[in-house]
Amino acid sequence: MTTTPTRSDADPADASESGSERGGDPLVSVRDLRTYYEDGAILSSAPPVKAVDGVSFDVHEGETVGLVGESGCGKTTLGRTILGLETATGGTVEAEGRDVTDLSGEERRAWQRRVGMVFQDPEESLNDRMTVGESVREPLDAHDWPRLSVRVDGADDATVSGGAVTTVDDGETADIAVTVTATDHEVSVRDALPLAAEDLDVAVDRGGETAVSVTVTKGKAEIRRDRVRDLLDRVGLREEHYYRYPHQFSGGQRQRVGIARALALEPDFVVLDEPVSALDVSVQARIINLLEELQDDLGLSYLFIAHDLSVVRHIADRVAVMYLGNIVELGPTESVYADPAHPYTLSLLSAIPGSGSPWDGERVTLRGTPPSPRDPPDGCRFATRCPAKIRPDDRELPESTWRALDELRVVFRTRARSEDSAVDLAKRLAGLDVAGEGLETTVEDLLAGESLPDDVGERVDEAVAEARAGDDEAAAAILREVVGSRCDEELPEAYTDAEGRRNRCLRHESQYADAAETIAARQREE
Amino acid sequence: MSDDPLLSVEDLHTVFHTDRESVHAVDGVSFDVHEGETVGLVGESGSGKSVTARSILGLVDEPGRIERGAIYFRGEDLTEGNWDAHRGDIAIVFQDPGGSLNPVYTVGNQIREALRIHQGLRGSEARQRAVELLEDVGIPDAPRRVGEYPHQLSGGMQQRAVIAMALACDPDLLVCDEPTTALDVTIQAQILELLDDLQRESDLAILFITHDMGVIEDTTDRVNVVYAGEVVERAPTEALFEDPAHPYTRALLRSIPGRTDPDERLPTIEGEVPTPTGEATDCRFAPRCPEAFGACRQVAPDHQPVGDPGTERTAACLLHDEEYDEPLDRQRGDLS
Repeated sequence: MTTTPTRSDADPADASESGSERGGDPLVSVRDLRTYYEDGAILSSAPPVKAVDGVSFDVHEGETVGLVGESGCGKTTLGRTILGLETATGGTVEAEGRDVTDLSGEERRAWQRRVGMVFQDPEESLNDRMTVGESVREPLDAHDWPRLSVRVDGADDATVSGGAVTTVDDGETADIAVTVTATDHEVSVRDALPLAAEDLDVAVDRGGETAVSVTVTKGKAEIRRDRVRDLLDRVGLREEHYYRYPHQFSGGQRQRVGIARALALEPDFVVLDEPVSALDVSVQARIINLLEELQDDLGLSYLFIAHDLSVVRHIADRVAVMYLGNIVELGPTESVYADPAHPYTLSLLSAIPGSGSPWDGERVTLRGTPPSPRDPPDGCRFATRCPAKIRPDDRELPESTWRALDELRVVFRTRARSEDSAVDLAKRLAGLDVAGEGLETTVEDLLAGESLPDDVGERVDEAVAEARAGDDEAAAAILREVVGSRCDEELPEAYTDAEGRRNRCLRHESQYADAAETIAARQREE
Repeated sequence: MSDDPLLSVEDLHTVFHTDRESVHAVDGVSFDVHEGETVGLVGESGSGKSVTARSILGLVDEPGRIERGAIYFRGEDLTEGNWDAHRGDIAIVFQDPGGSLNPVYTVGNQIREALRIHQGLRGSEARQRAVELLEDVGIPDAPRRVGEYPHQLSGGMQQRAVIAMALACDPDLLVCDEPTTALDVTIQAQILELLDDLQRESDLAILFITHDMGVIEDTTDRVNVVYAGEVVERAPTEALFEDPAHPYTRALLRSIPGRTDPDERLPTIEGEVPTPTGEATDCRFAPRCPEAFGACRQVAPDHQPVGDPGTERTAACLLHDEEYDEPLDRQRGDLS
């Protein structure tokens, strides 16, 4: 199929997700979500940490979206913000047409019942003074579960009364169905509940308007206990595990308890935050299989957060790659793994060790670590480390020279952002040489063997002079003028192709070679 | 590579005695490491791989004890109290770099300390060497970073600094105990590349301990698979991944996600790794082994040669023992 790719306009997010890859309304729809952390100090002028900075994506019913990226990229914060465990600074999370980021009171609790979260370390997410049964039961108690909804068939305008029951809302599955005929009535209970028709006392009053009164004769405590037993069974634990404590369990079993707890209130959307990262590979395989079974049986949708790309490849239908608060690439998992479009995705995939890597070219080793989310680069967030960064139009230099200059710029940038020692500060105030001879060594090492054109050489000398005087910021700015390109100026918009793959890299534009080609060519040159 | 191994671990038994029981964490482990080569020790938690590492360094704490066996380093048995004589010759890099660095001293301070103890360098000589070491491990702007405190470095940079400290002893053998497990995959790739470079430059021998089969595949020349305190298979790395001989190795490789069809369930190993509390009287993997037969529960298997003669491949499994006439082609059949 060849279709002209669409370029999104005002809001890249809306266009890029508009039912391109799946029919039907999404279950959860995240738009331009932002989560910033302000510095706690009064009078602090420090910029906020932009943990999540403009993220948009959808999760459809029954789907698993994988979320990958290095530590500190904001993936956990994103998951927590969607669930309402962190406060969103901006943007929306829509479920059933409502924004759930600013709910309060009963509405907020209703949203919490629909979602669940499984954490990485089951050791820390379980209370070791509570038995496993109590831990799984806790959310049931906290939400006063069950609240039974009753649907009355065969009588319009019937009223429902009773202690623990409510009338079913439109579109909701009823817990209890009462079918009223002229002389009799029949009661059925939803399968998933640990209740039988015998546990209910149903009376129908046909005088005038039909009035149905439902009383639950089975005690709440007993219902909850049975529910917990069902849950333990579901996740592959045994009944006798109810009264045991977390320390008596292996890591895999504790994670099963964590999953049972997350499923207690029958959520339809579950955020799994590194659920198998702490487990041995053979145990990990069993937990992954369990999660897939539960998804099939209960129709769950997952947001699966992980740094292990092989696990995500196995479990996710679509994958979102996150870098410094942004989703840089999103698409069907196999397609993204086979043919990564964003240079960051490509670098991540090529870094998977061993034959598990889908990348068959030479390994791309990224330099350094991601910049601080408090102070992200101006243009493309990935520009400071990008192996496929667009070079300035007006100059031809060997690849190794570009890399050396890039690296020197990062050195200045890092120095500008590191804490000043008291001695440095004093030197600066006294107008003394701050950087010392160490700086010269660094510059010499980086540029060893590179022959710079005269004008570039002059600029580098200027930069070094600034740095020596203590102004690393100015030094970085000079280098930026030399090596900077569009990548340093524009934050690329999300671009979506005909197959619904989204990519935030200027290299999708037709005048540029794509990331894989560029990286391969540069590797050949070196 | 000289013929005599640099390190030779022979029938090592490290036992932890508690009031209730004696845990045989390392139960008869043997392997060699030659100069300039990287040997892997791979296994799940509880396999005894880290205790093996600590045993080699003489770092086993009470109530643990090396009860039997020998650890020859350049032909001298370390277990006879020779650790101090080789204290600089063997260095170790642990999983958590934060735990290996002292937070109140600068990185340079800690490297200079190692240089003073192991090489007797002091003053400006030590300062210059510390900067060189940081440069060797790929820390950019080393002259400045040498004066920084550990918290000012990222996790990957901290691990580089730890490796620089280890190199300050000018070791012949570097023991790496899960050195990249706490790091992101991109940073892991940097560290693995660094170790590879260091080895090529200095003929360093590396004992690489990890649970990650992918890392083993990329970094090691030969590999030992450990299970419940025992080496169950040893092989040249390439041969192991091409054609694993022990049922545990096979099961472990199959359960790694990303190597199988995503639409299928991952093959699993049922049950848990047992804790060995006595001498082995049977195959410890037999209760979980899909290929086990009667004798597996009665005999502790010895290492048998497998694969091409001359490749020095062995597996401790009765399937490869001619004395037990389980037809080899039958168990091969259900592999594919």
